[in-house]
Amino acid sequence: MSQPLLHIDDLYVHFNTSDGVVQAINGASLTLNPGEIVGLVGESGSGKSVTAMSILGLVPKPPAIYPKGRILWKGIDLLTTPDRELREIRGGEISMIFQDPMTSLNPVYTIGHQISEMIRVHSRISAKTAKLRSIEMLDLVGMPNPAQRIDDYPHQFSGGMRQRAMIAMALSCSPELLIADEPTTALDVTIQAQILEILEKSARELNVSVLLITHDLGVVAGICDRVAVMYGGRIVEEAPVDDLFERPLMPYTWGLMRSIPQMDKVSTKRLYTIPGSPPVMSRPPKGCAFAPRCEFVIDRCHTEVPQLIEYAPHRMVRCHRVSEPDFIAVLA
Amino acid sequence: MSEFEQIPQSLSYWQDVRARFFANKISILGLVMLVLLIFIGIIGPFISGWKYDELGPDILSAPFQKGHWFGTDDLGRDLFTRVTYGIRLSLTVAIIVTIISVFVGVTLGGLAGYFGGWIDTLISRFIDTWQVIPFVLIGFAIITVFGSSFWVIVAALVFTGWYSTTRLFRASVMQVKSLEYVEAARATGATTKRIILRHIGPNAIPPIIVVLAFSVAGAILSESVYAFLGVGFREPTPSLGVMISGSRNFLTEKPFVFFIPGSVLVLLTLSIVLIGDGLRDALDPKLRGVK
Amino acid sequence: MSEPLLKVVNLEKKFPIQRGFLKRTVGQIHAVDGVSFEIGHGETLGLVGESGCGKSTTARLILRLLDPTSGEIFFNGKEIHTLSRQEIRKERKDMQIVFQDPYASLNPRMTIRQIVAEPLIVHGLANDDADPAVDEMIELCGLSREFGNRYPHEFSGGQRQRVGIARALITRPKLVVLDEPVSALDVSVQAQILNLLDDLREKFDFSYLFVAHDLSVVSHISTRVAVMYLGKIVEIGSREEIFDNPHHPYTKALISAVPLANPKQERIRKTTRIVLTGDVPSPANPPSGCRFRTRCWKAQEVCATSEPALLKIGNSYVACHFPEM
Repeated sequence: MSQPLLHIDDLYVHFNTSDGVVQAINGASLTLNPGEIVGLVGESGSGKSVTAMSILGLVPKPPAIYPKGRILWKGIDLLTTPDRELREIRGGEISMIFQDPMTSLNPVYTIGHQISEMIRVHSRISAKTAKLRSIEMLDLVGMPNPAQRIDDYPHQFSGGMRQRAMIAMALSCSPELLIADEPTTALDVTIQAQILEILEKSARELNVSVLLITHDLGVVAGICDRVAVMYGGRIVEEAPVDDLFERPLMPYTWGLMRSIPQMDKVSTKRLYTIPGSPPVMSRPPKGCAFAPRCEFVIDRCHTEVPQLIEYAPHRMVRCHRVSEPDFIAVLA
Repeated sequence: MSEFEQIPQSLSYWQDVRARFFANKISILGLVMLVLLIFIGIIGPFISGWKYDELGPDILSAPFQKGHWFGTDDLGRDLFTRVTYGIRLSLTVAIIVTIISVFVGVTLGGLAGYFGGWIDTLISRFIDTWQVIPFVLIGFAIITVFGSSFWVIVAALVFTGWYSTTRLFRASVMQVKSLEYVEAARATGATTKRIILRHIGPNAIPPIIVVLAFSVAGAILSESVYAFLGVGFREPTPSLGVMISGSRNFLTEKPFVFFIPGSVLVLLTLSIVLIGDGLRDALDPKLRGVK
Repeated sequence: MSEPLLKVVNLEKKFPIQRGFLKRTVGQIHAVDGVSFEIGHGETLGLVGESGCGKSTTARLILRLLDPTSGEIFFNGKEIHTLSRQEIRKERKDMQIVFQDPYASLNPRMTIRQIVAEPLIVHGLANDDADPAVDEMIELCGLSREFGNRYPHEFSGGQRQRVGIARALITRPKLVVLDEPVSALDVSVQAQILNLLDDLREKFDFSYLFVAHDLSVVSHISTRVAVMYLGKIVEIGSREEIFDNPHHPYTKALISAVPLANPKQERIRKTTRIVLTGDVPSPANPPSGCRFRTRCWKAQEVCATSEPALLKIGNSYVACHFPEM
């Protein structure tokens, strides 16, 4: 295969806070190929958002420090790229949409103005062409009457329409990678369905890679090709979407899937539960971050951090016990 | 349950506030400055050897000469003694004004914030109307009518200061009242009295403590401004504002007559503002546990 | 049939929209508009809908945390809607609520034990927080009694929600309203709380009104489900009926929009998914007739002119002129 689009290589991100060092990311590795939609799943504090922000150089340092690791964008390390060049890449080659579109839309300019502006920062075209392209983009994301609505201000849009405008803006400069950080978490389920459909359709149409960050396994199942699961600042499992859901190999993924109530399997039975709470990253466990909550824990888990190994082609797992055939049989 | 092991030693709210206040070097500096100033204000008149209105033979004598640590003013009065009295006067006026303003603010602001509705509309609109009247004019009016005695000046300062504490406490109460734990208390069946005393009060008061500090500093400054404009205390009362005002005519030849009371005024307000700043950070529940 | 524990008849709540210097009322938001339902002893009614549909308002009206504009609430043989503030206060011993946000719903200045003991003290059932019932309830909710002297900020979201549940259950109420009790929690913690709620119901045998937007969670915990849209119940029925055989187009769309954690099934569902167009209209200015008609693919003229009544179809009650069969 050709060179990957994005390769995060053993990334560490720590934050110096007055409460001590928060070890947000402790060795995360992830690869994204052109045209792929990859889900990054994790709970609050797992480090999924910090990973995304680090790709774009949006984590303020200080307090953040990068003790180790590289983020290679088409072979260039983004962590050592000067700010000026990073700005070119940001919004141009890589763009991002957030959970709350209101924080990234400027309330005093019209939507059309903001999209045109975005286009003109990254490519030399006339204002008129940029406006036409804005209308085109809004049409692509399913905005009704785009030619009229480009003259509206953000507050005149509903939550779902704002998120559409954000997607249009993010895609307007023909990026190669779109990072979507919990893009539907703030939305109602019927609106979420609209947005996910549009996100997938427009990404596939324009051949844009997507890194979809979410806590919702359902969202991932619907539109991703591949999924990486994050826990305690590390990727603990990564696999093609069907394999992951069919046969999770890491006890955390396994437990998570069994603990969510499933609408299609209506039952009053007790749910499987993972005991305890996610780790506090200013005092992370010494060994595997999941060890204190894992029902398959062995002594080694508490002292030694397992490596992310390739269990089968395209199936990466971080667990000490994955080499035991009996253990794998239990999870299946 | 291993997850509890990582929870540090439990601190009550006020222990935590105290720990964080004393960890803040700047606010400690403010506290030390204020304590020193108050100390000087208390013992100053006893050690200087002069009375504040005692006219000496040496006019506009420079500091550290002829037994005057801070020199003398144009009437030969000892500046050190006058400044120490100035600290006393400023602080006394400011504290009384603040106590009255907070009392008014907590009552009216609490009423408006807790009950809302027409009570809130009435109080809020009254404040809106009140605050567009220039405060110096009110001061002028009061002092012109009633003369510049201590209590008249206190009254003038309260008149111009009550509404900001009221607005703040109203906002504080409204904010706390809208929090879910207050609704939770109502849902348990708690009485209004219990909700106010146990839930709203303890959570709405801390922001007021900060305002208290800033209000004291504000009153000290306002008092001086009044005196400077000639509507506050008048000669020979040793107010810092009166002293600064009196130094105007020989500012260029004898700048110390201006700078000494001026610096004391600045240090006094600065120390209180620094303490207020430290308190604000220490009382902020969002910063709890952060050292 | 015996009397239901809770019976709500034609419940209505209008919020005034106020503007200007003197706060003149310029309009009204019809948050809850003629809602009726019953909850039997030991039953769990799931109340689902999207944001702004009035489900949380309905929950608060039942507890009289908000006063209804009109309508009747019968609870445990009493007319809740006619009680004075004093009388309703006493009634709250039997009807409690668990809130969504475990961070905002606990007073940061009170210890866990003080928080859990408050309802007992308020109702004169205990003198102070040293009452043995307090520690017992704390442990029943899965926390160690040693942590009773700690403050809420020292606990994780899931642990705080356990405290909220302990507070709600300490007076052994007959009805517990759960307002989105797990939606603020991490996915891996949600199951703990759902199981806890299940266990406690079995132990104490009370009824739940479970308000939520997450259909998967509602499908797990409810015995009956009511679906709300813009202040009205559009469909109410047994859980099986609602999820296996939805009659109202909105219910159908809502269920079909939920993404399942099953990629293979999702690919099939995606092809048949009903993706609703547009947004929920403003409750200040709802559409005439059927409120769902602006987004409904089956809407016809009659939907704009006449409001469909809640009628029995199969085992459910459905408010639609053209229900799915």
